[in-house]
Amino acid sequence: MSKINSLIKYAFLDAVRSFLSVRGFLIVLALLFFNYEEIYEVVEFAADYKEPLLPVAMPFIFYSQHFDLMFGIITIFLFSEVPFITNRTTYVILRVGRKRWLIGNIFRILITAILYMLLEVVISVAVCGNNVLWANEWGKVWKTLSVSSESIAGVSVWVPRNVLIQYTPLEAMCRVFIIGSLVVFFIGCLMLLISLILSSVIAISLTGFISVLPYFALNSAIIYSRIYYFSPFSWIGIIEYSKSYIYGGPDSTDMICMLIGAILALVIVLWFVINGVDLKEGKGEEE
Amino acid sequence: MIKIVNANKSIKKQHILKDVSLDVEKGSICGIVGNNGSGKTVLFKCILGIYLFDSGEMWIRGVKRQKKDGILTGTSAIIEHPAFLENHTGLQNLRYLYELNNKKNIPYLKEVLEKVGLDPDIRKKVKNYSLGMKQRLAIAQVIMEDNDVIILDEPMNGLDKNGIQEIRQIFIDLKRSGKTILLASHNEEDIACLCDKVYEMDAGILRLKK
Repeated sequence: MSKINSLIKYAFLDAVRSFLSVRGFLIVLALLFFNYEEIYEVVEFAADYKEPLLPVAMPFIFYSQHFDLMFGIITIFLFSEVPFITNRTTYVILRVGRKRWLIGNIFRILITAILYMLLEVVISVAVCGNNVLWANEWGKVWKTLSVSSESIAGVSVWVPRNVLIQYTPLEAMCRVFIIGSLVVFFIGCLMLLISLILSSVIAISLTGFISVLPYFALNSAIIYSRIYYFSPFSWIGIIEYSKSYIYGGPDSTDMICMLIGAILALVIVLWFVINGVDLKEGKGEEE
Repeated sequence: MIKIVNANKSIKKQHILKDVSLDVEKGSICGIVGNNGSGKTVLFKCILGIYLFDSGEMWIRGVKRQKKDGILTGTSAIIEHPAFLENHTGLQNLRYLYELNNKKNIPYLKEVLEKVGLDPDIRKKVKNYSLGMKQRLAIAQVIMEDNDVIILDEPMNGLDKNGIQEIRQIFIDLKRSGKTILLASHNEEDIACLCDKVYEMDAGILRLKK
């Protein structure tokens, strides 16, 4: 049990270390910029009407194709050092063995995913400014935006009325947080698997393709638009779809189950693959 | 102790190890000399289980190794240049590695640091260490767990004359206590002083020299 505890402890430290670095600084800057870019119209709208804004913008930020695209690219950047093997980690692998090292890395990816989404929560709240309403109800600003079209409000953020009816603000944030964490965890595990079997370059390229797919599926006349749903990054914002909704897409509970199933499948494959591959070094990690 | 027969390894279609055979007796120091790029590091990684031989057989401690056996346990190594957590001290780095499998024992780790000529109470972070200090720290992490098989890739890099003498004596003491050491070095003097058997590696081919 103490060996598992030490694995989790060092996985946590490694995950935190990846944010306390130049890479982490760039990720924070990028998230700040892209979150603010999505939400500043709402902030200005609230200020114009002198109404406080409930700082629960994250569910609606993820409806933006541009934000989904950038969030996906930043996620790939976050895990771009897969399979996290350097001269330093060789000393660790020699002591813990392949399977324990794998378990440690899976924990590391999970903790990184959670920290990344927590960072996104904090930043999405911060960019709403200081004219905020702290309550678990949507408030006038979001309700107005949910019934008025862009032409009336002059705000390009899409606020589906279904979300405001089906979920309280806390429920909506939690669902996006959970689905977002699972998506990022899935992508991290997928990158780890591909980098071990093939190479880190192929891992980054393939998952990079998955991250940009939703954007091109919606903006291209020749790509079938339903391919949009093939990328898990597109699922983060789709919390208003329910089984009764006429579109017939998966609801968030379905997505959570599918993601957990996919992650378990990846972990099982990793478990069987780990003893049969060379543990090749990636690029050096920043400390 | 370590026996390899006709081992081959290719990486990205390049044949790195070609029918390599090696025999290292228990309680001896075996040296491998060879230029950069000759395949020494790949050989060491294959022995440790970090890489997998494509073909051939290997016995460690009299037991035949299979692919599913994973990493070779009971082994310490320095592979390529030493690397540690740069924003931590030497003692913190040793603790991080030691406590992966052992209970906390700071007095013992301080003794190990003193043995390799490092000040255990120094608060200097590893990023400010000289190459020689990093090398000594790497040797400390090799000897701290008292493993019976030790693999060393250029362990004397960056050490001054006195440092080399101290570290040579450590390796001789380890050999006397029954450890088996596989050592790669460019330095003919190290090889001559320390090694009971010497192999030469050239373009993936290993030949017995002495």
